[in-house]
Amino acid sequence: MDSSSQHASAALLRDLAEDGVITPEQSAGLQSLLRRELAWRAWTERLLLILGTGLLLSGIVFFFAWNWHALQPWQKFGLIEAALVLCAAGAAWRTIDTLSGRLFLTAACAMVGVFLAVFGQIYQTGADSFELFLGWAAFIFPWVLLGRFGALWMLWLLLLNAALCLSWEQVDFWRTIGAGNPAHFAVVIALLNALALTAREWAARRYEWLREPALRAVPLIFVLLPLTIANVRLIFGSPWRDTSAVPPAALIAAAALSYGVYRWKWPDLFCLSGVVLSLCIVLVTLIGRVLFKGVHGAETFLLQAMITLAIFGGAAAWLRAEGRAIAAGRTTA
Amino acid sequence: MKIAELLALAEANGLLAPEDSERITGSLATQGKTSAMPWYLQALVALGAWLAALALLGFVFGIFFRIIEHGTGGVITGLILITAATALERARRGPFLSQAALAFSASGHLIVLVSATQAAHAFGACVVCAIVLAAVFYRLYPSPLHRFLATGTALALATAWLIFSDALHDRPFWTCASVVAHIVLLGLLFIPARGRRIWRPLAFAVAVSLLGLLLLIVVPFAPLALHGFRLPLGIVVATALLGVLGWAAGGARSLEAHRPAAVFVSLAVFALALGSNPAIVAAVGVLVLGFSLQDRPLVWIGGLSLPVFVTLFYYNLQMSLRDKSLLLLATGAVLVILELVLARLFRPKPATSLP
Repeated sequence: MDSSSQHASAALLRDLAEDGVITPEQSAGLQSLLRRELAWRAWTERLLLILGTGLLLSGIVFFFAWNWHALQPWQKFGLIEAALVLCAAGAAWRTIDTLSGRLFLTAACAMVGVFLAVFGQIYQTGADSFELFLGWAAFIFPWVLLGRFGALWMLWLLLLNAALCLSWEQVDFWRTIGAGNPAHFAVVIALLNALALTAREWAARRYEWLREPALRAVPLIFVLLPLTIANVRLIFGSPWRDTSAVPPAALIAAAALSYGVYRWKWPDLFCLSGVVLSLCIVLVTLIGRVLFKGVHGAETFLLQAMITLAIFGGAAAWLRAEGRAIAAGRTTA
Repeated sequence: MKIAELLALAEANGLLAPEDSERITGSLATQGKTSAMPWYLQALVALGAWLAALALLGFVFGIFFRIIEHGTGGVITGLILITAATALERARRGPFLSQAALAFSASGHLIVLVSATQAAHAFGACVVCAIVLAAVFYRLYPSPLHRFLATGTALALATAWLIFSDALHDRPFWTCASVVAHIVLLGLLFIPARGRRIWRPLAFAVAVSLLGLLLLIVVPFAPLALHGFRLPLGIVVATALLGVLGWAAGGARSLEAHRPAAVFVSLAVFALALGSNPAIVAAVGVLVLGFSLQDRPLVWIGGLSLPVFVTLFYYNLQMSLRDKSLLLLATGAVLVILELVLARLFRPKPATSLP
């Protein structure tokens, strides 16, 4: 990172004085100046708005919980729709270029889910629960597109993941295509999130608001998490003869692809660290399983400790070298 | 704010000469080349260390079971492990050995604490050992993470002793005294402009410990029932928050210049302290302190604890769901209206041109 683009903090200024780069008086003056020039108003407004919106939404939920059974269906729908319209109107009034407008839009999207849940409760449609999440994701999609708000996209991705996870128990389709095994299904979940990540990487070239690092990190975590869990489950849970090659192959493919993309095309040390962490966990689990399968002596624990240290230590050292290479803008580590 | 912006402002205000700025930029560039790991790499190293520590504990217990069983032997074994870890860390041979040292030290601490409790048949011995270990190895073991964990453990165990000890008769009083001690320590560690980096891990441990102690009060946790101490505690925490706000605003002279705003904020803080819970006020205080110092970990600590405390506060209110919902709606509306008023009052005025 360029030293001048470093985040200014009191700790940094105190360290500079302690290292003798500036005098303690200069450090104190700079700290005072930093406090004076901070965007206090914007920060306070943001804090008030987030807390206020959270409390208002909680108040609505408690209100419904209070006398839910006593309300007529039309009253229930009326209340939810009124809240939905108010939130949408709030978003239009504040415009989606402001944080408050985006929070209103997020609240409106949440109200769509409440509406669908109540609809299913009153009319007992017999629909599976995954359909609620799928319908919710489908209905709010136009708003998500319009919102240009990272958190809203994350909510949408979460809904898709929830729908997919619930559909595994409720839909026979997954068994017909060979994803009836939970380890295989984890690969399907990872594929969905990989698709979202690919879309983000493609669209981020055109839309600046998509370049927020969290919008890359969250889908990548959603790719790696199911694959890691599936592999660990496979190592611990299945008898060796029944193991499937699909989850390990998928993890290796995801790691190789991520390395190619986040090391060479769009260098990103955080993403590389996520991939390496995932591999370390699977490797340590695998070695532990092999070690403890036959022997249970104290020396096995020592061996496991040494191997764990070697794997994580080696990974950290390698990532630091990659980080330095990325910072230097070189193409070789 | 970026350091370049701050330096430019300082030069414009006559605080720094151009050569001072150059020296700072040069020093930061040098530091950047040999800089510490980013937080996610530190987390990876820490995870590896803790996993290895667990396995190492299995080994130590397996080999020295008979020695550890007799308390004193365990204390000696643990101390040998911590000393070896300290020597390893001081050798500074890269992240691999640093990770190994952390694992050894964590194992050693656990063995010492468990063995001391066994030997003395009293939890107080464990607390004393944790405090002594944290104090002795604070300087010796040159790792901020180790310093944070060791002092954090000592503070957590001291709080646990405060809650569960039968020897303590006036528990509400000592709980309040502990909160006051935490606040004073936080002020001493974070506020002075000449604060040294060695004390920073302790400062974070104290911040986490304060919020942890207040979490136990807000839950509410039966052994920590405060009886008549809730009001004084609220006043103490509110006064501390006002102190932080006053310091952040630039001190007495600045407050004098904005007297109406200062009076309004003071009233709002006391209303919050008396109407809600001291824990919420303390979380706001940590948040404000973190923002004014531009200290991201502190902002995270305050920012994560605030919603937890607010949720617990409303959840534990002894009132009907209807009243609770109305209270939530009213509080939320007040905050949103306050934001809108602030936005309207201080909106930058558009430049007007003469006809």
